[in-house]
Amino acid sequence: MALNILVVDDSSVMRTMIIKTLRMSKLPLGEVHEATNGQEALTVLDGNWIDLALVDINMPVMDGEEMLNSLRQNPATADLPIIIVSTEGSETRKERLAQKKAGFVHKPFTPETLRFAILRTIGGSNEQEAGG
Amino acid sequence: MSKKLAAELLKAATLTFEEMGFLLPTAEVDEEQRNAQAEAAVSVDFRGPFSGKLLMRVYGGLLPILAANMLGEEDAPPKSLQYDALGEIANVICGNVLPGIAGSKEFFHVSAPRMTENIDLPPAAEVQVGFGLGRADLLLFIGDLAPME
Amino acid sequence: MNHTVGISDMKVSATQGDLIVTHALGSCLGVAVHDPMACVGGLLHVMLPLSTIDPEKADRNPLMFVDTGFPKLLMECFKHGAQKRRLEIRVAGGADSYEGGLFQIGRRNFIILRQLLWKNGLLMKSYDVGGSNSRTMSLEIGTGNVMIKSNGETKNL
Repeated sequence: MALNILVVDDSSVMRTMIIKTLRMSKLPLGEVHEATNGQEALTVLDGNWIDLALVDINMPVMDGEEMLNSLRQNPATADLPIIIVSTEGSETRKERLAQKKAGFVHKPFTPETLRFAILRTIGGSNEQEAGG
Repeated sequence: MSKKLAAELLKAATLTFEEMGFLLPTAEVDEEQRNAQAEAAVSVDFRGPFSGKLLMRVYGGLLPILAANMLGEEDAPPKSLQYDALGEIANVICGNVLPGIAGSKEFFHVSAPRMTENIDLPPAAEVQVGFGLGRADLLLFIGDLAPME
Repeated sequence: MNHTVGISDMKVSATQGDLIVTHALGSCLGVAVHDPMACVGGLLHVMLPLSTIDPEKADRNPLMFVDTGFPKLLMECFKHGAQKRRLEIRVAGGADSYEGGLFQIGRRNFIILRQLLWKNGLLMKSYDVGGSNSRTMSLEIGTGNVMIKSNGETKNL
């Protein structure tokens, strides 16, 4: 089943790096959407079916944690698989993110680490299709 | 200037340049790197239990190589992407140096990177890292320097 | 048939059941690539990161450097029928003799390899790098199994 992915980061280069990793991972990719901040991302989610969101924390307008809170409060997106991709080093904040059912990948990341986190988050039949 | 701050800054910078930029730092900054031409400077602000700024300047042709490496390309990307890449490197270095200074319990908000000319204040820590013909200077400022966006 | 790969050396085989082995991976990197469908694989034992430090040496033996050796490994595998999109890549070695050593050749070798992989759109299947112990690495053609022996222990990578 093709996965529709949303990549949210204010850096165009970082979004490109994440999307390149997605393509290298041999995942069954459908549409790949991009957003430069949390607010823009919520608009994209309103108009598109998204299976997985990869989200930075530090962004202007609306940061990643605020976006995550908004998603979890909405029944339609309460269970949306989300991976936070961030430099965040605070254990306090990382625990809070985990409690909101978000995975976490620390920047700088290797593409293998990101791929592993994606497979672990989406799991099940998609992992088999991706060749594990 | 604090030795510990400088050590943490060097550690975060080396990790980020190696892991994201695939650049190998030289053991020392040599004369050619010291005399290299300035290309660009970027700063990020941070706010938390204490506030401050990280300024990074790059020299000697490092900028296009860094951006190309991050994107996995042979050729230098357009200038706008080069500046974006520089900003993201500064963002990641900043995010990685702060836990080393403040501990792992505290959290910070880090602003979007901004292209910057100079900051006329004494830094709390300053390091230089050489890469091939170029180098990166990193200056860490601590204190409320300017309002964040 | 067993093949041994020395330092700054590689071996590619398209014969099912062949075992390619390399020893004494200290700061050197062992890079194993295998195409399970084509039944082709190769093992490279590479010593230094960048050929730019000695282009003449790199001309005489490109397998000494990661940036010239890894492309050679890939090309040889492709010649034998391997396809890039099917390649399984496993890496071992890159140890450093002491923590925070000035030159950190092992770490540098791995960074340059990862840069080449990134540029070429390739992911590693698995890797066992760093630390301070020497490793022995073997690749079995057909199964693609890679075994690593280090510090008296053997494991499947």
